[in-house]
Amino acid sequence: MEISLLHVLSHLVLMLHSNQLLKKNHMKRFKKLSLYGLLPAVLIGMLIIQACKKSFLDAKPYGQYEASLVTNKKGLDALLIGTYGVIDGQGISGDGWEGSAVNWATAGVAADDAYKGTDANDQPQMTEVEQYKSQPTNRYFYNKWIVLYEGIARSNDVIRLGNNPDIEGLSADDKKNILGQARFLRGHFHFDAKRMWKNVPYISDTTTKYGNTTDIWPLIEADFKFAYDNLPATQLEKARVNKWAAAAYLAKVYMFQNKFTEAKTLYDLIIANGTSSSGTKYGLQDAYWKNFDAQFDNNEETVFAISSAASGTVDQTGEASLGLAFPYGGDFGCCGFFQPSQNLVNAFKTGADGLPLPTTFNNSDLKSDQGLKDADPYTNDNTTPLDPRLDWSVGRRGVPFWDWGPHPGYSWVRDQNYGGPFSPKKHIYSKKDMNTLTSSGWRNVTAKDVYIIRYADVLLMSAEAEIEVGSMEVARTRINLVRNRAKSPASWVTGAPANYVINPYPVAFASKDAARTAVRFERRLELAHEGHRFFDLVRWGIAAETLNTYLEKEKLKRTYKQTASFTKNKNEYFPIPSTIIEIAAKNGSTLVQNPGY
Amino acid sequence: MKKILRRVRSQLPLILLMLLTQSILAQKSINGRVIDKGSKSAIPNASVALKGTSTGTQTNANGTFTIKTNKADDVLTITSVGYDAIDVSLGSKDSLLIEMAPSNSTLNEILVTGYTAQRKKDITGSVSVVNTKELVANPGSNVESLLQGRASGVTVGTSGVPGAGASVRIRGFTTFNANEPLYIVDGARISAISDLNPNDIESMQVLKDASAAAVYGAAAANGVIIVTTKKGKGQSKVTYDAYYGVQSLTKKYDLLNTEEYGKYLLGLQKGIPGQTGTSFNLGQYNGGKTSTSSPVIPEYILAGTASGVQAGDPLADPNLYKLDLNDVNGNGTYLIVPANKTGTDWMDAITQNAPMMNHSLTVSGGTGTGNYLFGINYFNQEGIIKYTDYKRYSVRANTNFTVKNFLKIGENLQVNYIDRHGFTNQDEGNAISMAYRMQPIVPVFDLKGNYAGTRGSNLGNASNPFANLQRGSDNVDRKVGIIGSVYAEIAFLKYFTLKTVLGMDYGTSHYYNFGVPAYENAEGRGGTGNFNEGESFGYLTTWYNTLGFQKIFADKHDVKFLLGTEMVQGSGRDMDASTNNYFSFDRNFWQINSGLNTTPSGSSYEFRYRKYSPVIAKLDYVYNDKYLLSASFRRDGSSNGFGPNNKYGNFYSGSLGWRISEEYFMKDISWLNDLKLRAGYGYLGNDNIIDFGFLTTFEFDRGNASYPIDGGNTGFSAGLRHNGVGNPNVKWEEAYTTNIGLDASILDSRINIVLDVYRRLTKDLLYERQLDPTIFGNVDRQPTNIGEMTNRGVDLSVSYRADISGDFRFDAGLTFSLYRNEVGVIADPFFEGNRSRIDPFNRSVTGQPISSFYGYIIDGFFQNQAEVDAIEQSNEGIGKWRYKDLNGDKKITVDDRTFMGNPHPNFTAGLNLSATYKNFDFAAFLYWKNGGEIVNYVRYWTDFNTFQGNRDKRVLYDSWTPDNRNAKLPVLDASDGASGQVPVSYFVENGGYLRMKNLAIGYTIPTATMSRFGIERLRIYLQAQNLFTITDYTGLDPEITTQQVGRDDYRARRSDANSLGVDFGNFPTPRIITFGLNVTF
Repeated sequence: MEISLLHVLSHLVLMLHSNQLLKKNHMKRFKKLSLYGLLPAVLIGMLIIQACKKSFLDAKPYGQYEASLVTNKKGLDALLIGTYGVIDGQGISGDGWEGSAVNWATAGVAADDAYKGTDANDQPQMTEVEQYKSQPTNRYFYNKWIVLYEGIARSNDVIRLGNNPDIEGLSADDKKNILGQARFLRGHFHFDAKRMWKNVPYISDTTTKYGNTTDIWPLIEADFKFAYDNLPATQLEKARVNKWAAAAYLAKVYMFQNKFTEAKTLYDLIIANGTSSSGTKYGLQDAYWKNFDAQFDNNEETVFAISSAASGTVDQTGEASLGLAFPYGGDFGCCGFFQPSQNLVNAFKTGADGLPLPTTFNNSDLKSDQGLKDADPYTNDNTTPLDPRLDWSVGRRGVPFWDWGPHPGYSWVRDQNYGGPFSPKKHIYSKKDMNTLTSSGWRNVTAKDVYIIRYADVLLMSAEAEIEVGSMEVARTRINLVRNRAKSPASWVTGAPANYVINPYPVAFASKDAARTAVRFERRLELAHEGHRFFDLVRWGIAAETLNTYLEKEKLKRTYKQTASFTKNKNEYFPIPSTIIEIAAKNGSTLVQNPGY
Repeated sequence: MKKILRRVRSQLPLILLMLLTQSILAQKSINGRVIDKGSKSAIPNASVALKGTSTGTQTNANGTFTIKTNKADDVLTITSVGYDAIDVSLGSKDSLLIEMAPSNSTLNEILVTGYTAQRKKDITGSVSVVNTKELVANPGSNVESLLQGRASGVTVGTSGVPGAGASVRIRGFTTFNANEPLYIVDGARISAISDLNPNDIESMQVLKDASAAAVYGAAAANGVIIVTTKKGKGQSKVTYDAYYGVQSLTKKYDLLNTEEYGKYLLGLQKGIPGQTGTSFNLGQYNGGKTSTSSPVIPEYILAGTASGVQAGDPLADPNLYKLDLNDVNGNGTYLIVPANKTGTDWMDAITQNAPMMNHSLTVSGGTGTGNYLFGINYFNQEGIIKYTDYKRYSVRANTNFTVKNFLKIGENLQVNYIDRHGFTNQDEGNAISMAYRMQPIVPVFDLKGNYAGTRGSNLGNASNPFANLQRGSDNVDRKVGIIGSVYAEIAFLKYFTLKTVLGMDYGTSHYYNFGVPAYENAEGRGGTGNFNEGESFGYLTTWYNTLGFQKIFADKHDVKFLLGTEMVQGSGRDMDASTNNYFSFDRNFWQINSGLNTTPSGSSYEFRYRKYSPVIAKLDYVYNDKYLLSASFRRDGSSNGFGPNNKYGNFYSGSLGWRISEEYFMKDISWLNDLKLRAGYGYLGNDNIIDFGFLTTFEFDRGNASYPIDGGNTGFSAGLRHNGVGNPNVKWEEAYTTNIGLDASILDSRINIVLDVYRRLTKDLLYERQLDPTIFGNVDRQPTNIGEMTNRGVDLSVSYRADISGDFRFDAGLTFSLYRNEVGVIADPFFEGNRSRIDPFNRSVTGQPISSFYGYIIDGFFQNQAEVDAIEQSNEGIGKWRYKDLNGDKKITVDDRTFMGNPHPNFTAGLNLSATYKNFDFAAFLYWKNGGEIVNYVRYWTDFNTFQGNRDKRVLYDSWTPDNRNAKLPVLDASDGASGQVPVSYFVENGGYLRMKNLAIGYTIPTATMSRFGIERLRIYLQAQNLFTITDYTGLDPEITTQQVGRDDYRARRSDANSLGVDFGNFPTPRIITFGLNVTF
């Protein structure tokens, strides 16, 4: 029982009161007895009894639920939502950018699409990655690891509870749906770990010890297969994954293993029958930029996206993992990271025929305002033919930047000499969305969903599979679907001082190699800065040559890249965090460091 | 009785409670008077007791007393501080004149030692007595920091933050968790004593070993500090104590000026490996152009959006200047900031010579039937960092009534109101850190007197620390606290005493703060104003009841025992609201309701202190004043710490004492007054671990377990996440202490020595262990019993009192403390501390002291390419640091890290000297910390290519170059993002120091002069604190506290293991020159 101050005082009063009563009775002998013996004895006895009451020490934690309290349907679904809450990589361990699902601060700057940006001294861990000098002590990898395995642990919580027979009222369909989503998510986190580090352990709901010497692709496949077999095609709530998202992810897992036949089979099914969770048949949105506008979230192109919400003070689930990757000037103020590379900008040059220039694009640089300040006169090159997707992927001087007016150049870049003249763009909010689709605190937290798989990605991957084991013409059709959408003037930046020329591939590819080159280049253009490029290069087995070629020219522009060099058979994967290896060893598991680290 | 009442009323205006009505005893009355043997003057407040009983009284101001007895063979024992105790047989006499002889000896002093009091000479445990007179002679805001060097075995870490607490460690470190001692003030448990008015303290005892502290059980494993506040005595008097002091900063970092910073930037560019260029972009210098190789300081660092603007540039036309707080990023704002060509001394900009003052007015008095003390106190300390301060207004009311011979009632109470502007110490975002993170080229104010900052190119991302401080000056952080206790004590059946004490530590605080758009900053200047307001309250109550028995059997067997019960509980709530989007930033609109945001956010939560309900037993036995035995037992339960299986623990201790000097063979040694050998052994528990760690729990978490599952943009569904995996088997940490001590009093008791040697073995150490994240994810750390730790040490205190002549007196006191800590067998190979920007420095492993420093040892520089090629190391190159290859595999890996420093001192010592000559008095106090290393983490910011902050001068002048091959720092290289990014031996410095903590001179104006004005005593003094410090440490102050220590951590368990000995930019202890006066009338 609780002992309050009042309680104590009442005892004291009682004690004194009884004393007086006894005195009134003039029972001298009894009184004497009471004062000298009885009263203290009673008091002591009372206190001992109270003090020893066991219930006094039975306390429960405030605001926390014991396992028994969440062993029910509602608790199960809340745990599942909590698992979805990990996908964005934020708020779990370290800073948002370290756990980012698009891995921009690691794989992003390790690819040829972006520099770290900002200035030399900011986040040196990121420079380490950019220079292919990643250390096992680099905290980015530690925090990313924790984020992914937290997601896996939460998935396992759901799976364990979902299989608990004590949950009342859980229908067979509900159970399949919930377990399907949980295993989808478990597969997703393992997949991300697998492509980051290759040699990673698989943690199931029963794992107690682990190692990393066995290939876990089959286990990842099993999770997505289960999800594909058990999930419904439509969900009441749009952000829950469905059967087709599982199919697309499973196909992607096949593609990462070059299992093109299995992938092609699935892609055919997805393209023929696939729908989003709300039941809309998969397709491309009419305008490219709509994929990067929060108002068009959850569209026919959404296969699997991280749902984000941010509006005013509601910002706990806003997209913040890219918050550093905003222009340094203007309303954004911070932080100037993830600046597009000159190489990426050049890649958007097209020939007069409106087709990409995969072999010659980097022979000359598209004109930029490098070395100029805002006030220095500058005119854009409006004759070189360009793919219009350039100006949704890259912020460059003179081109309208969403509805903020023309990008002013120098003043939006933290250190032009260090990080070049360009700004990232896709994830930056529009002026009209300020405070309504952004946080009103730090506005770099937005309501923009982040795609893990969008339908254009599905089309291009399926084209790759077709090239390998199917029809090159089917592949061409699918690539052209993507290109035609970009060709539509609705996909252009209105008022841009640029000469947009883009066309579909008009004739059959000359060879398998030509087809491969086309589809790979198309992925780069369509999906720039969306978290694919580095892993694609590794998957295609061309990371070392592509990136070392990239460095040859970039070195001359960015002095800090002079000592950078990509080591084949090492830098395709990142170092396993040393702390994680140490903790594993402490707990009787074994993790072997990746080769070369 | 009425007469007594009337007298009590007339003399004790503060009486609130008179509960008992009439006397019930009819016995013989004995009257007496106690006087000084020499001067024959009355001795007030002498304690008069029937020997061997709990019945007693006190003499009044005239030295007289009345005591009732019904036996003629009773013996009275009279004791008074500063006199030898005396026993007087009553016989048939009705009135007595008792003469007492003054004594040098303090052996009969009564010390409060845990629920009870003991004569000093009867103590068999290890107890340090703090000389409170010396303690309060040293003005300071709180008691904890004043303790340093004053008691042997006590180590204190402090900072100069006004009003902040200090970390107090008794006999080193015994646990991975908080090592804070338990504070007992007038019988009540207090969460921290930093708000206590030091002037109110009568006595302070530190219980150091298990035999002394065991009766406090679980919370006492780290020792107990017992504070008793003053009581009134004698004739009514008024005392007024006041001082005024000025605090000043004694040391600054030695940073680059604007010109030097340009040279540094040039050096960085030139140093890039493979650099072939001859002209460089140097940021602001040279107008941001790659045009010349020598840095040219620009005229303006910002003009609109342009940086590095030269004189005469039309962009810097003052007419263009505008500032609109509602549009700091848009066209409404055009700032022009001139470069500070000589360089801003940011430390100067944020520091000041800060006043501190104290006024205490106390009225006190007492008679045999009661006493009172009423005091008011005003303390105001401004920080040497501008706009930080701590103001305390407090009232103390202590009253004690001897209502009857058998009944005493009283209360001790302090109510305080605290108004402060705090400081987040040991944090990279505070003003001290920003002062070295700001470049010298940035002025404090811009062209129009508004703030200047890092807005512009290449100025880094720090924020103007002066602006931050000044903007915070209207923020509010206030607290009302009540610390106190009430008690009643009933004596009955001659030998028994029943005591009930109810103690309370209550606090409520209120705060708000407003953030205006910080237009001058590079980062985070946007926003529309944000406001945050909150309140919290918390309380901790202690209620204990004890039954005491004391009787001397056959004149030789002095037996005392105590039985008791106790209840400890407390809880609190916090409420907080915040919003943003303000139309006006004026102070008039600093309320939630003025925010235009449609959805202000609010939160509230509740917390609960641990509850305890122990049963206590204690036995003291003395045979013939020669052989002493003491034993105690406590059964304790912990509500939040442990599950049903391990909820309770039984703790005990025992100690023996032998007063060898009482033996016949020692009696003849004339120079030896007293010699006592003590030995004690005890077993204590500790439940200081995360609450409810025995349970597996889940939590709804808006922050990181929520998801917009409906795909919407403006709302989300809350989800559950696992909090922690419970360990139902977690149990009490066990501490076993062995203590052997020697007390000696020699040369007419002029020299007193207390020596203790101890060993403390802690088993089943409680630790919050990181569960394997690969399996469990990012769960809370799990409380686990992980191993052992041993602490061995020696405490010594020696005091000397010389009475050379009537005019000249001299006292000296020395305290010496030494401990050696060693981590025993632990469950994991190691435990590491908190991560800063880089990996943790602290690591604990078997065989090493807790929280030792761990990292790479620097083995010189790579002097040439051959040396570079000889070893594989990341970040290698000519002029870079080469780390020691410990395993000789020609490859530097994580396996080449080792222990590179020990944060624990070799020993600490305090020397106190005081002397009086006629009316003059002098005091000096020296504190010496020998050894003990410090990780100077500030170097991460000032010595490496880390962000674009300012750099220490050694970076420019003592980095490796071909001409300076034995440099301190690696070669300048703009592409070097790796040097100093891991724990290396460069950060470790010797942290030993010798400090003149106090030097004072006082003068007491002769009584004859003053008595005409009704003034009994008037003393004035001048004092200097921290006058000088001798140290090798290059940081601001070698006296550092553990990270984030302070009273803000109302509930935090301060884990030392995490950042022990790491200096994150500690607020330095200031030098203080004080003038003060003490008046009694």
